[in-house]
Amino acid sequence: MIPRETDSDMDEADLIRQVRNGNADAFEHFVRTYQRRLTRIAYRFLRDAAEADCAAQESFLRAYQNIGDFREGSTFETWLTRICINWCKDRLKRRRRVVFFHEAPVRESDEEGDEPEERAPASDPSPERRAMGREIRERLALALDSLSPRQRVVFGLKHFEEMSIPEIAASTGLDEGTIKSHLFRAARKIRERLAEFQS
Amino acid sequence: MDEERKGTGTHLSDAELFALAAPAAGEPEALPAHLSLCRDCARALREWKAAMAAAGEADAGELARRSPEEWRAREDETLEAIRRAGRPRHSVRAWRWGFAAAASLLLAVLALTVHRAAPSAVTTAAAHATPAPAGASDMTPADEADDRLLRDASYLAGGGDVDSGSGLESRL
Repeated sequence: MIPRETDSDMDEADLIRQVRNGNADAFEHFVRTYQRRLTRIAYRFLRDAAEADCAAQESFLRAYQNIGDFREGSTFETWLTRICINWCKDRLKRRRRVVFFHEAPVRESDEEGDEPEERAPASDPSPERRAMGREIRERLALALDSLSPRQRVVFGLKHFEEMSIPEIAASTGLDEGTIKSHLFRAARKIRERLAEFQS
Repeated sequence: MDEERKGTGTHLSDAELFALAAPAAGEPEALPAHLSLCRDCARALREWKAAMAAAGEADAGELARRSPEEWRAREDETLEAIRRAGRPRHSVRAWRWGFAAAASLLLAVLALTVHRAAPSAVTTAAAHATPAPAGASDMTPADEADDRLLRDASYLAGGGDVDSGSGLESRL
């Protein structure tokens, strides 16, 4: 996961007030902090980097233009993520690609050596260790491919974007029970696949 | 890897290691005591956690390979678009409150107008039909003049005509 980019002590409520009063420059903090993460979230839905960029930019623009509607007390990030996810859903509907939620996602990193090697623990770079890490990653990738796209999106938001269940619920409009159910089923499916591989 | 860990029956399976590396929901599960005794399983768990991180990167597709400069350029594009957009819109909620207040005010004015127009037409007609005898009222002449003026204004506001025999023309 790409971490949030900026100082978490920044008083976002104060910045929002400044933006509402016409200081567009105060919005820069939000773009620098959340654009990468937002783009990645959009990508998990759209599976297209250019469209994910567009989704993120449009979401920021909508958030900026409608910042008067942002309710203080909720988090700006969740509000922004909800705008982005709604944009992605609209996009999928417009393109008649709701089927996305029922088709297997395309993996882009099946090529040998395409996975980031630096993610393997650096403490023991022996060939045996690398082989072990590669083997685990391959099995995990295969197991992840067995998830339905919706399960995969929810699983990705939870484990790759490190969003909490309430955050996912608030951002997607699904209730927490549904999110937990998706996560539980996804984990069970992955464990079953891993057990199959091991046997 | 499996060859190392299989066979004793006490080692953690891949499914168990995955469950520890990616808890299904909520807080991570308590680590089994076996992990503190078995270096192979502890190492395997580290590999599973690393595999999860790698899977996250792989799942982000080409975005995972973008340089900080490329990200910065896209952020700059967004900021430029925002600057071009001008000022944010006013709050829809504030606008709704304003609309509600204006609508309420308009309704109140309409209700008041109707309320005042209806009885005044009757009293105006009655006043013209049977003028009150002098001294019947305890109003001063000035009050009566004001009262007459107000009634005439109401009569006109209610659609009355100046030259329809109301006597208004002469008073004006």
